[in-house]
Amino acid sequence: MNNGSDAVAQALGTFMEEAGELLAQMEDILLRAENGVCGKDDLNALFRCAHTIKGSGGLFGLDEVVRFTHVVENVLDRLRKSELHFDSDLISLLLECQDHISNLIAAIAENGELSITRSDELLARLQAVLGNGGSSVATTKPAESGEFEPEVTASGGGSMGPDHWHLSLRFGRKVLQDGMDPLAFINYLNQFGTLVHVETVADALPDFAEADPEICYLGFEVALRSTATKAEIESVFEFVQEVSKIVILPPQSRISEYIELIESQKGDVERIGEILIACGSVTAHELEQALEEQEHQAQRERIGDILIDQGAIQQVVVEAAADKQKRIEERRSVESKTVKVPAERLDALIDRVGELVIAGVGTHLQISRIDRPELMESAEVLLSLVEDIRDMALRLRMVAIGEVFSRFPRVVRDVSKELGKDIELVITGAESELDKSMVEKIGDPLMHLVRNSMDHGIESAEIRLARGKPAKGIVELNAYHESGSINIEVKDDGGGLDRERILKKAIESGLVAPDENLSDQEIYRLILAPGFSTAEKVTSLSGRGVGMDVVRSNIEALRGTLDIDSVPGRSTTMRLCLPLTLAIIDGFHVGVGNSHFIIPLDMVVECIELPPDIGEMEYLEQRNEALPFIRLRKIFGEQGPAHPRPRVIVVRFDSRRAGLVVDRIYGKCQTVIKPLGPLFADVPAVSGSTIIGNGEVGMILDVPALVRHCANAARRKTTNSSIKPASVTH
Amino acid sequence: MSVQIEQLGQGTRAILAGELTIYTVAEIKAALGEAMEADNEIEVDLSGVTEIDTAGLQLMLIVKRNPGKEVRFVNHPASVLRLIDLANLGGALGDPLFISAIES
Repeated sequence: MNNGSDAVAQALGTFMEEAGELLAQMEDILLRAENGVCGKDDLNALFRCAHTIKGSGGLFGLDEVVRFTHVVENVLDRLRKSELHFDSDLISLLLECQDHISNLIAAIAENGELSITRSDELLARLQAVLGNGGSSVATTKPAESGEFEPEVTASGGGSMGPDHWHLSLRFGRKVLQDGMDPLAFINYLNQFGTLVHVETVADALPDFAEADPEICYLGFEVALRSTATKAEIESVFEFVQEVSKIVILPPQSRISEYIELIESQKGDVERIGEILIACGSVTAHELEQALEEQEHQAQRERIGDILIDQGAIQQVVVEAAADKQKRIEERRSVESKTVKVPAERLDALIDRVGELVIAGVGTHLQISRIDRPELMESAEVLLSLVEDIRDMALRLRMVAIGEVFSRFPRVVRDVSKELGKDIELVITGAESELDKSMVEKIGDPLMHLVRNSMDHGIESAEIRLARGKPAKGIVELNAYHESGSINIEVKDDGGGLDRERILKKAIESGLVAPDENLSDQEIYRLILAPGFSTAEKVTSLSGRGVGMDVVRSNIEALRGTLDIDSVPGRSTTMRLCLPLTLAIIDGFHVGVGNSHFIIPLDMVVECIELPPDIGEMEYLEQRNEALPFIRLRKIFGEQGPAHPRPRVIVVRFDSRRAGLVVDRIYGKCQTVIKPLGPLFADVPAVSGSTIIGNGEVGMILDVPALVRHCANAARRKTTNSSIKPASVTH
Repeated sequence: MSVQIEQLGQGTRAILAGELTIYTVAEIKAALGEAMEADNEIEVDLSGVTEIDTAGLQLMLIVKRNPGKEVRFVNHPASVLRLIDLANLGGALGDPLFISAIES
């Protein structure tokens, strides 16, 4: 029994997954439809999505899902048949329905409360669209025909089979003597819904002389339209199940399953025909032809196949069946190419690889000290293999950022409706990859940035037109790789940031001193300060001044940075720069006094010697440009022996350059980032620690923080400002 | 339960009264069998049938499957009509059925 329920739980899981995909597909199509891009195929696909969800939902007895989706399906069916046409209201309604189905399924997954009232509310609106709501809503949209019948009559005549349950009942011979009354069972089915059709199968009935009236010779084929669960229907036959042959086919069963069932039941070929005709999937003529062909065929192909070959069964049925099969096949092929691995195993592997890298570097270091070229060579090979393994291991965790982006079309649509602005979302670079753990964490910050752009960035249509811009605003999401990190841009073509207003606000709230000389970028970054908001009105989306600082702290927790560019009147770009991975980096190993530091190699531009005549200056001239630098010795209060000729490591970060003065340069090394303990959480300018080859601990420098400090320091030389950066002590 | 056999001018009439159920089908079958021995044309009056079940309905089908004999059921009471309708056997039995306005 346990196995059985496990299997059901597993199947249910698959259903949830599949439903999720289908709902996503629906959303996608609806959103495209809203932009007027929706072909015949899309409409069919849309219908099939709802149809499949309803069908599989029925299999699992998810009554509420079936009840609700059924009506949605009706609407989609009419759209498909061009009896209804998309308009903005209908798309909104369908999107709400799609959400609701999604919520229902989620509620089932979590054993939560199903919102029946929400269903009813949406159903009433759907009925209004269909034109068969109550008189109160009938005025909204009169449909062509007064009453809508879900079982649309097909060209072949009769109603479509897949809409109802099919019960095939052959009772045990002794059920009558046992006091059971089969027809009473069938009558009882009326409790669950409507009996569409009952066929009494009397083929086994002998002639009067041989017949024993107390033996049950009869069988029944029943078509039942019902929202009941399979278990409920089965329970009707509970007492006769042991001795009878009861087969219950849920709605939407494939025709082939259907025929297979009927063939397997006792009864001759004519009965199949009758039942198929009764269910309206084939006409008598088509059946005859199929039977004829079956006789000709030696290998006894199934009637269902033949009928399909002949195109006798309505195209929809075949399409639906074929589509389902195709999807199952596709799923299988994807499955066979993908191995699901628990995340913790992957993490354990990467952890081990990290240790391997450290050990490899250590060995390499040891070998380099003894003069054995052949040993050195093999160590080099080993190390490069270890590097490959490191890269591959890290790639295991990489996923396309499209996973995060995919939820935004809907968000943009909903928010633009809410704001009454016409906004288009353009996504580029969705295939850029980054660490899975990041993907999970950047969703919310990105969401906030996108909403912010839509709310504050994009102006209202009137203002846009007045400024000579198209009425339709554009929000771009763009992702691309750049020097070992991934950049994600949220760009809007709105009014840009108001430099003066931000500054005024910042001065008012005491964030900056009135006489401070700030670059545009720094002014823009002020909006990231806690409690800062320039919005004149607070909307439900943003403007309360909480958020941007949360975004910033979220991003900084990922060792990322957030930069803001703005062209007044034209655009605002929020650029998130995140490391590709959180685990291992290529580092540049330097020494200051007795301490070891690691600079992420991607950021190192060049190494130069510090001019001996530099004195106490904090910038030097390089190729006719001023290069500000900082002495790590000073910043970290390093007391160890100094080198007579210090070096300057020129680092670049986000178009800013700065120098870091160090004593020694050890060179490139692989660095496994070990988090700093909570004790060191507040240490500025250090983002992590690592173990270097000789077993000592090295600090990984937080270059962006240092660079920013450098830039400030250089400017302060000229302005003598009073502000002190919090991150660096002088 | 009773089966009353009447001779008509042409053929025989069997008047059933009481239950037509699993409890009585064996008895009724025997009685009707006897009547059919005697005559090839039989009219079975169901007006007195108070109750019918699957076994009863099946018996009606069995009675019809008697080569060389012609059996007609008449005066179906509502309960019988309901069951025939449920089992969709009106056509298979082939008897003219009178459906009262209220029933339909």
